[in-house]
Amino acid sequence: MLISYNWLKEYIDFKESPEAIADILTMSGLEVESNKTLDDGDVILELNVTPNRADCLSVIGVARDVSAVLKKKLKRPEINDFKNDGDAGFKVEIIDKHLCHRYCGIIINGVNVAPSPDWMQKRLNSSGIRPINNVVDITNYVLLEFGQPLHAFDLKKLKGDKIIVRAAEEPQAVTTLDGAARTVPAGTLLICDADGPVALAGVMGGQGSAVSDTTTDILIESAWFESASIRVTSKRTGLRSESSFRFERQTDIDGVKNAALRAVSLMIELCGGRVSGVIDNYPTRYETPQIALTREKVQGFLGVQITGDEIEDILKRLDFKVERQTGDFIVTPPSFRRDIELEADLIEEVARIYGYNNIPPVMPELSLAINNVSDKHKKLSELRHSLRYAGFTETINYSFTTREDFTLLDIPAGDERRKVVTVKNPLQKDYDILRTFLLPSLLRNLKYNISFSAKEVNIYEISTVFFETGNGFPAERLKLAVLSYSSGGKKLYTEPAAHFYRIKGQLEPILSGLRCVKYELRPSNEDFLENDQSADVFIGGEKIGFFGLLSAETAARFEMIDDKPDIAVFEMFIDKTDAPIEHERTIPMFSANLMFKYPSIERDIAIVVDDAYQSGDIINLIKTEHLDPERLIESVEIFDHYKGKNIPEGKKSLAFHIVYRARERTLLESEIDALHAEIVRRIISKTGGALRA
Amino acid sequence: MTALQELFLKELEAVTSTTALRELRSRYTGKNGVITGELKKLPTLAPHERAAFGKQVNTDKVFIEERLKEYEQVLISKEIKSKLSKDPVDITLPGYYKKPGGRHPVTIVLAEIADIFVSMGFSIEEGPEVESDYYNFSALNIPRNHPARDMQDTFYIENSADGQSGEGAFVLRTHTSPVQIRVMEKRVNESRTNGTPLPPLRFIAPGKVYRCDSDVSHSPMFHQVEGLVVDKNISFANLKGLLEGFLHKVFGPSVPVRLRPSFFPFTEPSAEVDMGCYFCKGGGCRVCKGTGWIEIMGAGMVDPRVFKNVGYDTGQYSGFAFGMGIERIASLKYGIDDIRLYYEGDLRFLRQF
Repeated sequence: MLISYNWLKEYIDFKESPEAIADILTMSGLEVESNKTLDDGDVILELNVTPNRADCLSVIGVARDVSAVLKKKLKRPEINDFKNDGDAGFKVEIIDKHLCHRYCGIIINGVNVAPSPDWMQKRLNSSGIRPINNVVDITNYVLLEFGQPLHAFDLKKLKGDKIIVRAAEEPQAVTTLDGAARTVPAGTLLICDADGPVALAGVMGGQGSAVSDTTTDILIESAWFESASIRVTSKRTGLRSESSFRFERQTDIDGVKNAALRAVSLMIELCGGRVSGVIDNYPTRYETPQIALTREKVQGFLGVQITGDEIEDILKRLDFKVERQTGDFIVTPPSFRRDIELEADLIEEVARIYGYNNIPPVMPELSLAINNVSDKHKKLSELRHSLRYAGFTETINYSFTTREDFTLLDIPAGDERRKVVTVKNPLQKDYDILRTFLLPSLLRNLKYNISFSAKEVNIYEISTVFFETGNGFPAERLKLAVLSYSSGGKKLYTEPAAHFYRIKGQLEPILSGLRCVKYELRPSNEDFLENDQSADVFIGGEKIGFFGLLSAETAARFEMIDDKPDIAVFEMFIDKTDAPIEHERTIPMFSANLMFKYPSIERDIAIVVDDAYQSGDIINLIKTEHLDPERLIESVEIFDHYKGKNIPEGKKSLAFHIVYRARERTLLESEIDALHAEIVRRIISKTGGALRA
Repeated sequence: MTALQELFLKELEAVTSTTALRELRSRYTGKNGVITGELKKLPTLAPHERAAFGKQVNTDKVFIEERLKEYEQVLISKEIKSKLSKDPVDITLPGYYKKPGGRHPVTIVLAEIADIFVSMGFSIEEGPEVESDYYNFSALNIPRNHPARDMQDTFYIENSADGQSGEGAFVLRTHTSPVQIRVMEKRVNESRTNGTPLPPLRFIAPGKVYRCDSDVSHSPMFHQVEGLVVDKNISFANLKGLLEGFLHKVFGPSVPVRLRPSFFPFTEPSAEVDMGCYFCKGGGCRVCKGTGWIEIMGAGMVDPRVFKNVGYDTGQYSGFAFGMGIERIASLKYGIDDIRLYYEGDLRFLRQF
């Protein structure tokens, strides 16, 4: 809201500069966002009035706060009461009393419509309101001064000498002042004459009853409309006016008549005319609450030694009624402070006028307590750390995405990832669903970076994904996705492993970091991955993720065509491994292996088998329990994987290193020779392979 | 020195490679070596000479083995050195390693904030990103049609309820404040079940929040950290003390901090927390719009209406809450002027961190 410094000065005697006043306002709750000096030296302050402070949507309201801080008297404009000069025979009927609590109408005959004086036009202009004519300008001037919206009707255009305030029973056509023909829904509060609507209550007048150059008789409307109703009308019609803005925030019901009388004084002064009817219909009375307040509570809550006298003084300066009873107070807030309901609300009033700056900063004293801290935060930070040192940069993408993802990535119908949560009012029309997986975002990140000629892109994201459940809250799960791209450009050192093994090498430490050992890999059924270069990750029969090389077709669909696309990806749920990330520190997570006390015996096996066998199959054969009931095999590691010269076509050579160790004794060479030979025999018989010469 | 030892040393002197040394070793200490040969003479000696002779041969053996071992070390080092000198390194070539990736600035700032609060005994709590109308608005004293909803233009979830902002509606949470309600509700239920008094409460709740807004300084998704402290005798002065301490830790001990009255439906009194402008040091610049102050967080004493909604006794307990935008803090710390940079995934930007 815009406030003139000079105008403000009319209500309080102060010498403070505009900057000092701006500071006072900001520090007492009316933030001054900017100020502008006009040609005539006046300064216009732009205030950010919070929604609870409807009383400050006026010059007098703002002046009241300033006077409270400066401890100076507020000078209010004089209001003359007008008696009916004659019975105009005009009636105001309020049908929906719960929506219109008070309606004051004043009839003035014989006005002379003309431009308003310069000083008034200037004030309106500097407050952001366009001058129209003296009658309309006065209603707006009083709106700015008191915060009470007023409306002037051309009395002769109102049919049947009456105003009826009622909610529309059915959709109703109304042509508003701005010339727009609108249809408002049933329930909209209307101001009607005998024929029908003449204004959208609290929002905008109708064109048919507008004051024009030829108007001589007018009805001034000053009313109190229920805020929610005005808000709905404003929202449904898309009309926002100075009036609706104030009604939505609740106006001062006790000030309704005063504001009308103030306008009448100005009209008689500036437009001529005489009052011929004063109607004040006030069917729904406002009961001001009485709130108990204690000095101890104020002191304890704020942490300051404020005295009872200071509390009383501050509240009274804000026009609160204060009854004092030995240190305690019974406080009645004024009718323009409907935001004040509880003790805490009063304490805030005391605090803001006392000055937040005068409250000392004191660290709280809290007793120690064991918090049920989950490991999640720590584990995620370790995960981020290890990914970082493996060369990956974290990205954060919007949770919104598009259904196009499913086509681009060939996600089959019925796939879990298609159970999406839809946003009703997205910012971008197509980006109206929440992500169920992160890969599409990373692929877009990649494409974006390639457009800047990035040669190597190693990125990851950790984020919540959302699945529709059909009953209110979606299922929120935590996922990690990793993408590694290399343009195959020239490099100083050669990479020691193929891309598939490099991305798998990212996955494995993550799984073990999450204390996840019982996972199983199966050939992937994801259509967007290369067939023989990918795998799915399972835990307890449930698929938790996938990894491998992105298929050339998918890369092409994302318009990333390369002679040799080299994009490796993996994605997995990280909230549901066999040691869930939310695990609370209650029990040891695993038992340490303490077998190292006795010496080990080590043996190697090199075997040539058909290509169809994977190294994991051979390791499983080596670890077969029935050959090794005592669990003497401590570890099996593959150290060679070879195809080519000296190995027949369609076969490969695999070599394993086995460490044998017993838990409670020293092993004998002879027993391990026997066990090892048995294992070798078993592999040969099961695979049809041969020991490598 | 025995004759055998002298002879051995002479031969050792001629050895210049590990291969020659191995050959020498085998010739002296091997199965059919000189030492074995000497020992074979034993049976031919008179019984009284045998002990002395045996002892002598053994001394020779130890002497030879030790010299061999010593000299072997010397030769190995020499050979490694000569091999390396034929293939000298370029010490200015880059080492072979994976260049570490960048941390996301939002993650850095979140971690920094979490560390400060965890060091003060705060726990870290979370809540869902898709929230019910109740937790996001009503329980926080933001009733239907309240003008405070003007401040937050909210994303609504399809099919969640017939009307916007009605009971049963689901939204993308507009702030992390619903976590306050969830945690307090949980505490009250636990305390009722166990018959134990409510323990002191202090936690932060970091996470993503959403608002229908998108420009240079607004993003439809951003990150907030919410904080809540509830105990007996918590005052507004405590709120000031804690937040001042926190901001001094993040931005340096000399940064001025001020609280000024504001409005949030779920706190009373409410405060906007400003700190002295980082860039102009109070002189007035573009960042602080000439005021010398930068708005950095919102805070206030927990509104009794909120305590009532979760079942806390306001006669016994008081508390304060605060909330801050992470991108805003990161932008101030790193001089970032376009919030969209955080979400573009541009490695040229992200790798700096």
